[in-house]
Amino acid sequence: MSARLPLEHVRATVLTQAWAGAFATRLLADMGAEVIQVEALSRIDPWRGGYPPRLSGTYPDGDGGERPFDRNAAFNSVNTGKKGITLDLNYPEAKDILLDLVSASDIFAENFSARVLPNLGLEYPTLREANPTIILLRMGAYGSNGPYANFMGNGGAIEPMSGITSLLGYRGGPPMNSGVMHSDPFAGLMAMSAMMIALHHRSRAGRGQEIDLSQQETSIGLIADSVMRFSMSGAAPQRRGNFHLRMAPHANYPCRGGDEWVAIAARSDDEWARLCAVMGRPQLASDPRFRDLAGRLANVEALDEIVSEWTRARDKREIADALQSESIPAAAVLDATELSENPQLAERGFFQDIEHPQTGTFPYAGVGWKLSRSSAIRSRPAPTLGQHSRRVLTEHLGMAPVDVDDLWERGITGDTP
Amino acid sequence: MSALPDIRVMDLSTGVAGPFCAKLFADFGADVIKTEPPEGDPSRSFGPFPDDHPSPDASGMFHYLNANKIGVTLDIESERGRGLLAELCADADVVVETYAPGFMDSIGLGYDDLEAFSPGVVLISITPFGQTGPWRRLQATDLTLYAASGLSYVNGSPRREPLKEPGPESCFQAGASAFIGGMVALANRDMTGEGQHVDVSILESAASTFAPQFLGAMHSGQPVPRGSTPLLPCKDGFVSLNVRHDATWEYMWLFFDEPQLAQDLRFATAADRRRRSEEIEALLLPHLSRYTMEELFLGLAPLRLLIGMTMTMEGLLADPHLDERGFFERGPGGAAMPGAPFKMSETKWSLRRPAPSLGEHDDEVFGR
Repeated sequence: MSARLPLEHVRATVLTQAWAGAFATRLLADMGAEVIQVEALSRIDPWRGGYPPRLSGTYPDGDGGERPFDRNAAFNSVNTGKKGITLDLNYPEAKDILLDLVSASDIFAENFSARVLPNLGLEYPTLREANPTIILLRMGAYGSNGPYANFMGNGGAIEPMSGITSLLGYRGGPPMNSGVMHSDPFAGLMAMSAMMIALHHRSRAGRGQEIDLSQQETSIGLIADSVMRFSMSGAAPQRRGNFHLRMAPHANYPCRGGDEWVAIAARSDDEWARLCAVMGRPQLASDPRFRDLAGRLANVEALDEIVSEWTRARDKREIADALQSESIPAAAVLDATELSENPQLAERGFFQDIEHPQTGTFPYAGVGWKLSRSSAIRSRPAPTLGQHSRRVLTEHLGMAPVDVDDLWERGITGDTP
Repeated sequence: MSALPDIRVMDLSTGVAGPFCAKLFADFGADVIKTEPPEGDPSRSFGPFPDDHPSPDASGMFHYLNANKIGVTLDIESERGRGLLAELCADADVVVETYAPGFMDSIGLGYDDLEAFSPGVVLISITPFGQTGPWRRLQATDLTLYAASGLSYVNGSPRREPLKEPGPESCFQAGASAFIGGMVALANRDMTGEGQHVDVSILESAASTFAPQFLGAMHSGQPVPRGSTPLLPCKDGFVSLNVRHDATWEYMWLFFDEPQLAQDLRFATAADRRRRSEEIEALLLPHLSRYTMEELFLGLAPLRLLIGMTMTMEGLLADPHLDERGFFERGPGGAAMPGAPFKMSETKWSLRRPAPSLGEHDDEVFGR
């Protein structure tokens, strides 16, 4: 195992904010890139605070303290490993500094609506003047062109705009947004994919390029099957809870205790027969209502009631263990605090303890891949606001400390809003 | 010009996660050979099918996941099949596989074997739980992985059972994670000359998307509750509507021609509005019922409100924005299919050939 991280040779200057964009550029930092996050003191990343608690996360002990913007779980979770500087881009000298950073970077990234970059005077031709091989990632809600390009969107808007929301809900019930916004992190994964493709091309051809990612479009990719099904048959999909066209049973069933559930999926008649045996009702396997998939789908409510009867008085983990011992897919539904105790994730070191100067030490979620020869992800805390302003401006750009002091006094850079 | 013409990929995977990873390589120009067992990849039976007529060469999902790939059949149970597979892998920069942990070793194609006859190879292994750990041999589906990842618990109504997301979402998350891991490994190879084994866990890919909520729970010691902000009914559907800033709050009431509500002291600050969200909903609903989703979206989004229309599949296919961006491509039977996941100015995504019929390129590949 080498101590080297794979992207140590890459530098990115990023204006990414909130979730999707910040997560994309966090993945760069995880893999070793130097990621310099630029915020303005007058307009800090909204994930440092300002949203309702459900979306903006929470402070340790419920206490924001003197610098709540440094203690927010939301911001701190998706900006690990980055450097943080502040620059008010409304000042021409700040814009010059940003372009100096661009000239020393491989990637420039942002996730604003399409009107923002032109308003800042930072369109691709300008960036390319500063750095002819720069890779520009733009990943607004609706992409860089088209009638909605200038509209702002967050996960709460993009999920419904991508069709996902129309498919999520209980039988006969209204459409629902998800409990977390799935459009954001998937857009982040796809944006990281795009940046890796662009880096590969640049290493071969010596050319940068502009990437236009629409979070609405990456989200539609998640429901490709429903889009195609509608297009082929004209049949509008129905909301049907956890119902699945090719598996039954297929649901989260109630267990002993309050709000405890177990997920069970039978992929074949054989798995259904084994499930019947585990439930102590082997005769159900030959019941004509349930003998084959078509029957189980047609009688799914009766089927779910039978399985629920068995699960209701039992412990969710014991049920999952009993079914897994018969090779039937099953898992306890874990809440966020139980997740930290998931033995599989623990054994593989998925969570990394990171010490943050303003919050202390907590476990942080890692990434979905492990590399056999490279180091694990870079585990450094998210930057506090403006933490690296002075260092980046003097060390990276060779500015005189007295000039940085001047910017600091004028509020163009600094560490307190 | 394509981005990855110098990359050769052997795709031994089936289902969704592995093929989606290899699809990203193929769609951006890599030379991808997909091997299938003689009976075909199970996704050939997933559909959807044109006119609902099942046919192994017309499955929408199979086509979506495997277009741009060359397709051959191989019986890896046979010695001849394994020999052919080893030959194909010897030429590969990347091998993508989704067999149970240990299987590739058992047929002499584990990472060490591959590395011996194809130095610098990147092996991407995608499994529900990863190659190691106490759960590595357990059975799983998208539903059970969502349950174990923490994502299901928060989804749905607090009074009802948790809901899985529509579509095989954890598989897409894992496929994208696998592609990133593979590309990062290739970038590392450019620097060191060494390949490596990329171990992708679908569970971990899903859990990685829960990072903000997870850290929030660690900060508070409390689980994230199940639920989401309710969507608001209007004339022809539902909209999501988030009034974040003071300015947008005012713009919204001006749009509804209720200027006095914009100044109402009961709702003066964001905190007031959060506390009185039920009163606000009651005030809003009569106004919303007079407008269609589109009228609200096109009226309020330019005023910088965060608003979304609850688009149906029909709505997506008719959406002028997606149409102008040319997002949808044509799949089996001319059906609409999601196109480029992102647009690249130099190295464009392209749909060059349909997914292979079963064994379509057997002669071409094994004859050469």
